[in-house]
Amino acid sequence: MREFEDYLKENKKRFEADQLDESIWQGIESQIVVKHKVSYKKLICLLVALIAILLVSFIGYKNSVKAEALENRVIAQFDLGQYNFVQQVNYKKQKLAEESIPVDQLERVQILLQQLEFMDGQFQDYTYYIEKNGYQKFIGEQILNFYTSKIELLDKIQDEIEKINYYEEKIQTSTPKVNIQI
Amino acid sequence: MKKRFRPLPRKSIFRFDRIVFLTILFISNLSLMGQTTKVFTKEIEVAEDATVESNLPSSFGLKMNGTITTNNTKDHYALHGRSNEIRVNIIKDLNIETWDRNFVKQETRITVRTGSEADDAALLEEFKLDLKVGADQRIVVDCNLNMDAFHMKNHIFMDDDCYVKLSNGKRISINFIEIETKLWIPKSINLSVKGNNYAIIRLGELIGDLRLDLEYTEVYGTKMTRLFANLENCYNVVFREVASANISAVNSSIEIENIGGLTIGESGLMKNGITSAFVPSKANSALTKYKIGTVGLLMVMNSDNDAFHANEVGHMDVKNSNYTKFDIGRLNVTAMINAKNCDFNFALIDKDFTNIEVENSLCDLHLYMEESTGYQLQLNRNEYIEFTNNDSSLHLLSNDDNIELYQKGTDNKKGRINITCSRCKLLLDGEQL
Amino acid sequence: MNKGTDIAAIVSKAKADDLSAMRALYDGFAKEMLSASLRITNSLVDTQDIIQESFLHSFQKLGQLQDEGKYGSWLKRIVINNSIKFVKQRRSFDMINAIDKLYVEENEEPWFYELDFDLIKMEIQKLPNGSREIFSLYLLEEYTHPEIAMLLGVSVSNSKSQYRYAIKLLRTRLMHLKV
Repeated sequence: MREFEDYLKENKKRFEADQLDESIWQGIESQIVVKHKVSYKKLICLLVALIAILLVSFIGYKNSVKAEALENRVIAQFDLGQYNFVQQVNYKKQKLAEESIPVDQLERVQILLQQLEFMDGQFQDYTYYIEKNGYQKFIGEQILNFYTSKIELLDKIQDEIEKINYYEEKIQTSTPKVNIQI
Repeated sequence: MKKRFRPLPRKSIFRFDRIVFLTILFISNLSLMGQTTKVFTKEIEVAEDATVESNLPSSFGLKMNGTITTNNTKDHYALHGRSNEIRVNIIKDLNIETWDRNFVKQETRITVRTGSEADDAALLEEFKLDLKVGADQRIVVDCNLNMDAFHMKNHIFMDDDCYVKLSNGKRISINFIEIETKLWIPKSINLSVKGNNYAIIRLGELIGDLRLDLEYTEVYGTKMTRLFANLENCYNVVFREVASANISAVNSSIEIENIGGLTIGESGLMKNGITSAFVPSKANSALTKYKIGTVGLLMVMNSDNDAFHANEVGHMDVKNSNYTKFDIGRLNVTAMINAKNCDFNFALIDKDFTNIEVENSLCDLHLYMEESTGYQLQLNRNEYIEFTNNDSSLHLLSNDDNIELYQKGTDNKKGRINITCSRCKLLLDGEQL
Repeated sequence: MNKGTDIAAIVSKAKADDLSAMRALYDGFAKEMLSASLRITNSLVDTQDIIQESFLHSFQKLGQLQDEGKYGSWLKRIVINNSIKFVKQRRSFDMINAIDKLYVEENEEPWFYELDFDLIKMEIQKLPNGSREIFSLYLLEEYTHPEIAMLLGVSVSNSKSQYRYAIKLLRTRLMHLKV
C-alpha cells in the first residue's frame, strides 16, 4: 500500500485540472476594476468622512487627555507616582502594538486582550467611586493592586506572543501575520 | 463651607477673668466636645439548620437631599453636609464570631454628637435594633436599624446644618454619627455574606456552609467546612483550613492553607441573575491568584489566565484551562490535564504516582520525578514538541507511528505518563536509579 | 511558474496594482488551486467561487505577505481554508472506528503504474466527503494529521482512520476496475 501512496504523491501534478473556465478570471478582474473606479461622489464622501474622522479624533484626543489627567491625579493623590505605572503600561502597550502573530492564532490571544479591556473598565469603576466618595485609603490599595495586575497581564501577553512566534519560526507554516489590535 | 465648633478665644489663659471665662466656656461646651455612645444588642434563638444572610451595608437608608461631598479619611466615609461633618462608619469591617450557642447576636454601637447631651440621647432613642428570624428560617443581618424612621436634610441654598427630624417632629442638628456592628452566630449555621462594597470581613470557625458573593472585599477566615464563593476584585481572601470549596473568582487573590477538595470555576459568576459581564471567554475563573498549601483533590472546570500555586496536590483534574500557570510543589497520585497555553511546573512527582495525562498546546511542561521512581512515558511525536530528557535512566522502548514509549525501571507497578502536546517544551528531570 | 525570484518579481508588480501581473499569478497557480479545492469540496461550481474569492482576497492582502517568493504556498493555504470553511457547513464525518493496524504493509506488484490518471482522479472524487477531504489534505497537500484535525475540528485518530479508509477504498475500487 505504501508504494501506491508514494506513487500518487510523486505524481500529484497530474491531478491538476486540465482547463480553466475563463469566467473565473473575468469575475476576479471585474472586482478589481470596480475598486479602481473613483467617482466624484466618492471623493466628496471621502472628504466628508475625513472631516468627520478628524473631528471625532479631536474629541477623542481631548477625552483621552482628560482621562490621562484624571489618571495622573489619582496616582498623585495616592502617592503611587514612584512606581511609574502609567509609563510602564504605555511602554508595554506600545511594544505590543508593534508585534504581529499568525492570523490563525489571533482568536486565542483575544482571551487575554479581552481581559485587558476588563481591567480598563475596572479603573473607570475606581474613578467613579472616588468622584462619589472621595479618596479613601483602601481605594489606594485597590489601585495599587490594579496596576500590578495590569502590568502582569501585559507581560503575559508579550510572553505568549513570543512563544507563538518562536514555534512559528520552528514549524514554518507561512501563515500570514497580523498586528495585535491593542 | 464647614462650620467648626466655636473656637476658643486666642488670648492668654493666665488672667483670672479669662480663666473663669474659659472654665464657663469649657463646661458649656462639654456636651459639644463630648459624644454619646449607645450599644444596642439583640439576641435571637435560631434552629440548627438556620441560615444567616448578611449584606455588607452600603447605606443605612439615610435619605439625603442636596449635595453630599466626602473628604479623605482613613476609616470612615465622611458625608459632608453643607455645614456640619457627619461621619458614618459604613461598616468597613464586619466581624463575625462563632460560638456553640444556638443564638444569633448582633451588637451595634452607635456614637452620636449633636448640639447637646439631651439631643444625643433623644437621637439614640430613635434607633431600634431589629433582628428577627424570617418565615423561611433566614435571618438577615444588616444594620437592622430603623433608619427610615427619620430623615436627614441637607439644604443647598441655606447655610444650615444637617439635621434629623425625629418621629416626634423635633429637629436635631447632627455633627457626628458613627455606627459599627458585630455579629455572633452559631458554628453550625449556614452563613451567606453578600456585598459589593469595600469592606473587610473576619470570620470565626464555621461548621455550616459558607457562601460568599462579594466584590472589593477582603476576607479573613479560619476553619470552614464547605465554602461557595463568587468573588470579583477581592484581593485578599484567606482561609486557614477548608474541607471543601467551590470558587469562581475574577481578578482576585485567594489563599488557603489546607483544603480537602477545591473546585475552581464551576459555578457561574452571577450578578442579579445575569452572568457577570466578564464572560467573553466563558470562563468562571480568571485573572485570579490561587495560593494553596495542601489540596487533596483539585478540579479546574474553567480557568482563564489564573496563576495557581500549590505546595502539595493529591489528585488534579484540569478540564478546561487557557493561559493559566500551574506551579505544583508536589504531585502525589494523578494529574489529568486538558488545557491550552498553560504552563505546568511539577517540582516533584511522588514515586508512587499512578497516572499523568496531558493534552496541551503552546506551553512549557516541567516534570521532576522523585528518585527511584519507575515509570513509563508515552510521547506523541506527531505534534511538534521539544523534549529535553535529563533523566539518564529513562530509555526509549519503542517508536511506533511516531508514538514514542520510554521506560525507567523494571518494576511492573509503575506510573504512567501520557503526553500529547503541540508546540511545547517538555523538560523531564529525575534521579538515576 | 517555477522560480522563486520570478514569482517575487511578479508579486511586487501585483502589489502596485498591476493587473497584468495579477493575471500572470492567476495563470500560474489557478489550475493547482482549482484541483486542490475540488478534491475537498467535490463541487465544481462551488470550487470556482472559492477560487475567485481566494485570488481576490490574496490580491487585496498582498501587503501582508512578507516573503513574496512564497505567494504560492500562502495562496494554497487561503484556498484550503476557504474550501474547508465551505465543507464544514455540510460536514458529515462518518465515525470510523480506529483502524490503525487494519492493514499490513504488503510487498505488492506495482499494478497501479498502468492506470489512467483520469480514472484515478474520478475515483478520488467519488470517495465519501470526509475521507476524500482528509485524503487530499494529507497525501496531496501534505498537511499532518494534527493540522488536519485542527482545521476540520476532528480528533487526530479520526483523521488517521479516515485517511486509511480512503486509501483502502480507493485502492480496492481501482483494482476492481483494472480487472
